[in-house]
Amino acid sequence: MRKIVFLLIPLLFWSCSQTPDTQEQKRMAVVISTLNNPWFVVLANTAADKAREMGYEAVIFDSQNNSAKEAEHFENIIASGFDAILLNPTDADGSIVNVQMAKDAGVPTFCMDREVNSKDAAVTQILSGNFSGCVKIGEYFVEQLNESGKYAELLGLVGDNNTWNRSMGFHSVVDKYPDLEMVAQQSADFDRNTALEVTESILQAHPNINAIFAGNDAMAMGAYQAVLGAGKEDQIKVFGFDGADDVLNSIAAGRIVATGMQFPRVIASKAAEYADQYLQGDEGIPGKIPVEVELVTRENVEQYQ
Amino acid sequence: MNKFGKYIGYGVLIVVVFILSVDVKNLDEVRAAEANESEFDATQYAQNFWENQLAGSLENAVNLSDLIEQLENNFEQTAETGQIIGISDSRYFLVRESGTITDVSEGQVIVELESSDTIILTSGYVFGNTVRNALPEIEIGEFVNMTQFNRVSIEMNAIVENQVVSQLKEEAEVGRELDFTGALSINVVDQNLDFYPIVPLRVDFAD
Repeated sequence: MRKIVFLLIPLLFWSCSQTPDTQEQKRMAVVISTLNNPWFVVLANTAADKAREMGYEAVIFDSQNNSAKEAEHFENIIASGFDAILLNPTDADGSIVNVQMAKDAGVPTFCMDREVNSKDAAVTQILSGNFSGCVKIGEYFVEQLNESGKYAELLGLVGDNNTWNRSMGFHSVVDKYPDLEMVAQQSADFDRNTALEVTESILQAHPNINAIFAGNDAMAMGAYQAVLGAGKEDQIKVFGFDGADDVLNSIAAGRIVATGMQFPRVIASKAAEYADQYLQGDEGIPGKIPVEVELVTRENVEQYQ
Repeated sequence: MNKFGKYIGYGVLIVVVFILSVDVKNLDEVRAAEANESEFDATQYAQNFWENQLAGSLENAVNLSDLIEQLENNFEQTAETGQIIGISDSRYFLVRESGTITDVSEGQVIVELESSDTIILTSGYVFGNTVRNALPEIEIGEFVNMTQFNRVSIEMNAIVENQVVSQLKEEAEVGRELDFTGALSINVVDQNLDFYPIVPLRVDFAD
């Protein structure tokens, strides 16, 4: 028995001398505003896959568009000892406290696609060029409507900066043309079903509109469904933003007119890469990294399918 | 006594936990910080930049004819000397040159350079981020969010339209000679040397 104990002692010392790196796999948490939208599912899966490819364990958390749920996830993530957080925030202001809490606990956060209103809470924020993308859509919108007509705008979540940057980019162009009149502007929360209902009600109040600009593709699909239901598909041109597969197919089929192609896979992969670099000691990562958005129309949609 | 002591102990523990879990900050400081973020005045920022920093920035503009020649010789390497914002195929330059107006039409003025290259100066609406992104002094990191950064673009474009483009539009005539400095965007994928229109930031007519 004593012999066995003596044999076990060196083994115990060897075991204790191992660093956590060789003992435990590092972990990244992927916290997503909602998984009830295919675009964010792509973002989540790409971030998790990239983290795993680099040797991390990755776990995806769904905040269900709820800052309180996101806060719970952050508390659990910090308590569970994750090494980094890849975050798609629920709210530009409401999520700051969660990111700061993680920072204070020594867990760095890397924002994806949506930003928080802070210069330094997150290590970096990789975001779509929403404004410039919607400038391009605005220019095409003006061209397609021959600089005149009535239109409606569907906004996304009002607490999300992307909503306003898209709207601001679009209006920075369209508002220069006095014969283009916006008759309705309503939020449909980036949600297809809500957009369907909101558009139905807009069409009842303004049956003669010529176009709808939707702040994302899910809303564009909902709006187009309402337009189709009202039998006004030849009268009303629908424009989206995202580059979702169903909208690309719709553009190719000559239904939806245009969208802005975002690159969720680039955003998510870069977030995971920057997190890995940061954990390895790189502190020179820029705080804000916009990713350019491209205009997709019937003329170039084949390149994106 | 024992029970009493226990209660005091629990009480002290609760007070200590409470104190440790509360982060006390001066309310005035928090309000001031929030005010700084929400009260960003993009108009003021752009005006201030235009009046106090633009002249210095334009000193660093590259000669447009030289840039065109370098792009023709080695597009990729030359393009990388431009400004890049984030992950993008666009590169931005501040350029300057002299030339003669050969055509004036809606929204654009065609200029033949001394090198015989022909370029387009915008004389219509100015959209997007070309002006802001060509000016390296306007750094993305100094803004709390993209909304502020984008509002700077809108305000800078408005100043350019009101102070430069309007002058160009009014005074441009075929045959007139001018010196100009402007913002140029090129695309590294298209590698198109028929440039997008150059947004003029300063125009001086020779006569």
